Amino acid sequence: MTSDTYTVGDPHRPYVEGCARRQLVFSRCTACREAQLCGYRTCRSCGSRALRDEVSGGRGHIASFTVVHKAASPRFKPIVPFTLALVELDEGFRAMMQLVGSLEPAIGDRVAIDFVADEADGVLPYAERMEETS
Amino acid sequence: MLSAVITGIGDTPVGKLPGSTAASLNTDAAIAAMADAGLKPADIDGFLCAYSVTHPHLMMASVLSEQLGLQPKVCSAIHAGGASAGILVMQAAALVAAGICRHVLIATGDNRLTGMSRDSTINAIAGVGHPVFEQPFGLIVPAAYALVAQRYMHEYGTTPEDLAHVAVAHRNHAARHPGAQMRVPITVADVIESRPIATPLRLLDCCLISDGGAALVVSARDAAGDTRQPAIDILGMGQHHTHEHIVSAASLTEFGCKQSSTQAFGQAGLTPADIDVACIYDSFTITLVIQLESMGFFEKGESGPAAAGGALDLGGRLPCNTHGGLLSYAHSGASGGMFHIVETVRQLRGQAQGRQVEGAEIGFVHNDGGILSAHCSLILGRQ
Repeated sequence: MTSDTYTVGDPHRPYVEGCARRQLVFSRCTACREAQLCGYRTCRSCGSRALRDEVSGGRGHIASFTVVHKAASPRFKPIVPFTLALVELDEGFRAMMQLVGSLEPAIGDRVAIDFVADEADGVLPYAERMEETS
Repeated sequence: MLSAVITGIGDTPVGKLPGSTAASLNTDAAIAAMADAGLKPADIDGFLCAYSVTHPHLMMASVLSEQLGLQPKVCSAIHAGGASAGILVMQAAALVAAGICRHVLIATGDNRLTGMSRDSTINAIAGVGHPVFEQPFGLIVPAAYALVAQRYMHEYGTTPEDLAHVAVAHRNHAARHPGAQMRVPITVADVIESRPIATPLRLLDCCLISDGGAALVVSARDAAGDTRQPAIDILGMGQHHTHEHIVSAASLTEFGCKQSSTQAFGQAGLTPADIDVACIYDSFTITLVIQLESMGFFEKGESGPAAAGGALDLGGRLPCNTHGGLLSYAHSGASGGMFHIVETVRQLRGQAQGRQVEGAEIGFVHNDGGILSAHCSLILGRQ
């Protein structure tokens, strides 16, 4: 087996290691230019395996959100209620993360991504609404 | 016309059943289905089942076959979340149409309510969230559906009151079913004021957690003479699968139900207007709203106002989930979708006492699993 058909270990590793460096790493298809999360084995748009890791500029907008009132497990109990968001990054891929600083945003709000250390899951991205300048 | 027919149905009581186990619920329902069909274990040459959250097992179908005294040619489990029941029927229909089996027994069952604490059930089900891109952020299944709901409401104007009318319609149906788990009447205000789970979804927008099991026999058309009930035709069927995790869904408002129903209607040569009674997956109020509008039963944004006007009631344009659905009848895992199929068969046989849709001839069933990930549509008809 050649090295480009056999992957050792977790395909999400570039994203996880990127978070430790406070970078949001995603996957860019070099054939059709579409962007997606790390970990898919093929481009979900064109099926190519010519995928390359890229670092996101960390800006996007809120595609949807929800205020969660129930803890998934005991470790989430201290933060309930909290806001979960699906963020559409400017590069054209979608990621889930918590929104901090405001409980009820609006769909379309611009957000900036930053990172925080989490005792259970290492370093995780989170989103914060960007203040409008005018 | 397909050469597969439904010749037997069976179900257990639902709700809180202390002492029940996944195996006991599966086998109780299976025995009832065989008795309904008038078949013995020796007549069953195919056995299919789904999964259990309280009794995960590598060889669940063999475990249950052993308990039932079956020695079938085909014996396996299908794991497809809430879509399992419909997919099991489609698989069984393919087996009898291919001439591999004559009578396929399908069983589902789980004791989600008494077999684990509510929090454990929610945690176990939250385990289906993506381990890297969803679980670390505290996703629970209702939150995944809430993300869809929020976007759908933003794009199509659906309101919390619209969703509440759907919940009320289901409770009204459950009030006519003596076995339903939740029968106390509710109002729109009750739904809107119920405890928030993940906005915009509140407690009464969410399905129940129940114990229960349901089973079916699918037979080859020319083997239906071995059985004793009026056979129900499988007129059309379809599936479509687009993702598992909501973070991977191509769209937050369009899902595979569109394609699965198009396949089923195409095979049957029918349209939504031909449907007399429907049982469509209602894991959350928003699930039903999106599917009704995607599959062509109502225009976008219209199913809520239609529900408010009685469209989903017995005398309405589309009597829907006449047993009360997952919202008010019961939801015990893969059986949730099977309760929908059993109810549709009862309606088409004229056996839905106290809640019969008069003259029901064509029924539509839709199951979905995951987070609007896996979809299966069936069109059934009275012969």
